[in-house]
Amino acid sequence: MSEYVLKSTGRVFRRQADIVIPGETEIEVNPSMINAMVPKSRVKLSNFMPSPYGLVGASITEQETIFSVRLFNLILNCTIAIGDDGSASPTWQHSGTFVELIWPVPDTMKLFYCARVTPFGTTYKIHSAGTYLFALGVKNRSYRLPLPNIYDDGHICTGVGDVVMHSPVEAFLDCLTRFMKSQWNADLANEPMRTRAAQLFQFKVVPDGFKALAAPKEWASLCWEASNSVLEGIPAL
Amino acid sequence: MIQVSIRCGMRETTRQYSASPSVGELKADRDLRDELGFSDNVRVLVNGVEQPDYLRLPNGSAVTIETAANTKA
Repeated sequence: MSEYVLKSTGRVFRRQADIVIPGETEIEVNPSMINAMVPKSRVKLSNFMPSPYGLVGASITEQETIFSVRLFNLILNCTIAIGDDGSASPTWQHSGTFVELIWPVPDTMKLFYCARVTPFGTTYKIHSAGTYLFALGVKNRSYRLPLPNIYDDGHICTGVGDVVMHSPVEAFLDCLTRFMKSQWNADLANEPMRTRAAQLFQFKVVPDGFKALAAPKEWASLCWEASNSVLEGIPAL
Repeated sequence: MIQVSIRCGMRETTRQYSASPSVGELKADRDLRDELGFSDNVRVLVNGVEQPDYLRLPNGSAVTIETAANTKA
């Protein structure tokens, strides 16, 4: 009888297990065999918990928990400019009159807010750079929306430091709520971002507030492709 | 043949090479860029650790490509 040993060097050996003095022979194997030998320590939970903004999924390892929630509306709490024709568009200023614009996520976009939670002593921490916003499009290509408080890699500029709570869920919900209620401003804004945002986030004035206009079908061309390993934590779509 | 699995966001592919590719070669591979959707501003991780461009990847490697973060001006 043989047993196969995956060593810490990544090399695989076959060992005769039924003789007193085992002999080892190194063998060439397909990486899929190595993958099969590595313990699968990541557990993914889809829609395991409700939140005020959508059902929450989790991906759990010994080192971290990645929470994710699919957003069907994006709340843009920001300054705006109103045109003579009744159009309204975000101006992303630091100060002025802020209004809450509800932007419905297009049917062809899956928008995810994600956060990486790590153990921190007897508590749990979300690093100040540990929350992300990603849009998934055709064939699950991932994109960064043209918004002014998001870094190139998709992590969100929250304006606050690390968040430390007594439970991972508590930390996630705190960050999610803060994200949905925060004001968007000109931090990280630049002209390319402003130009694209003006095409993607369009509104008009209606009697009871503001109504979003349909996003362009080619919304992906107004975004930038971006990825982060946090995306691996999103449970099956 | 050298086989390398490459993940970028939700997408993953496996490539075969006649010789171990370097991390820099992977980042510059136009076909790979088109397939997975990444540009110049990326870093390559193995088990969460960023790898230098000169590193040659052994057979069976699994790497993750991430967009690198910019900094505030």
